[in-house]
Amino acid sequence: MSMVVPLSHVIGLSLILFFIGLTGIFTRRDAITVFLAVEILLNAANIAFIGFAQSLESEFGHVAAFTVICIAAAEAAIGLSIVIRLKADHRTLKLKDLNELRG
Amino acid sequence: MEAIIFYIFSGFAVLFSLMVILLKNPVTSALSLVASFFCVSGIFFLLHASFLGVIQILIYAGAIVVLFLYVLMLLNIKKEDLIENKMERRLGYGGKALVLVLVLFAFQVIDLPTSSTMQVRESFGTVASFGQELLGPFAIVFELVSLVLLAAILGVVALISRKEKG
Repeated sequence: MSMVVPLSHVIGLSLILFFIGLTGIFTRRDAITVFLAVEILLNAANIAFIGFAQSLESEFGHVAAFTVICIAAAEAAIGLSIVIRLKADHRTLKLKDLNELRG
Repeated sequence: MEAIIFYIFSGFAVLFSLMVILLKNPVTSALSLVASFFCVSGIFFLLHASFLGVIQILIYAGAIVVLFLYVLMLLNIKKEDLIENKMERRLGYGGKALVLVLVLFAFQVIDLPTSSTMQVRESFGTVASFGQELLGPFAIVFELVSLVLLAAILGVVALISRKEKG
């Protein structure tokens, strides 16, 4: 079994996906799509973990990626219940209207 | 051959991720995210992480995104809730900073080793090998993750069962 592609291309893909996710977080204005963009970010980090794990032949990268997936599941559950709360309490999902903490 | 498959999967993963952040309807965005996760799962298989590839489909595409779709259905989002996506107006200084960071990281990526003769052992990334690693040297990680998941369950119950404001 040989490495199919150079490590730099795998990390490059991870970088592109991370950039797409960051752009989504900064440009979208509804809470749900911002959470979807956060999932893209976590996924990009996972690609980097798996790429380095294969390059270094260490399964620590796999354990780290597994942890990231579990944290993403917890984050999605908490985040979506916060979204439901926001909708119930404020009747909006527009992040612009949610400025209670602004001094 | 495998390299070509990698580039096809990468292209589709990038395309579907772009659709997630560019499309207006959140349901379409979530479904594009599922497609993107399937492509990334294929990349995991090519990188000899077969267990993680399966987990990616089962948990990410199967559970997390379905949770998103379920909440979208619960919220019953109407047309007027969907805000115009005015990219150009919000990509001011933040966008320039993002591009700068991307360029800086891209220079680091170019310096990475490009050798394509890397050998991995036959059992690398299989369930047995991954399980021995996870429950052996990294058992503490396993236990801590279970605590995080417990905290998430309790947090969700506390958030949702709270009485209405006022």
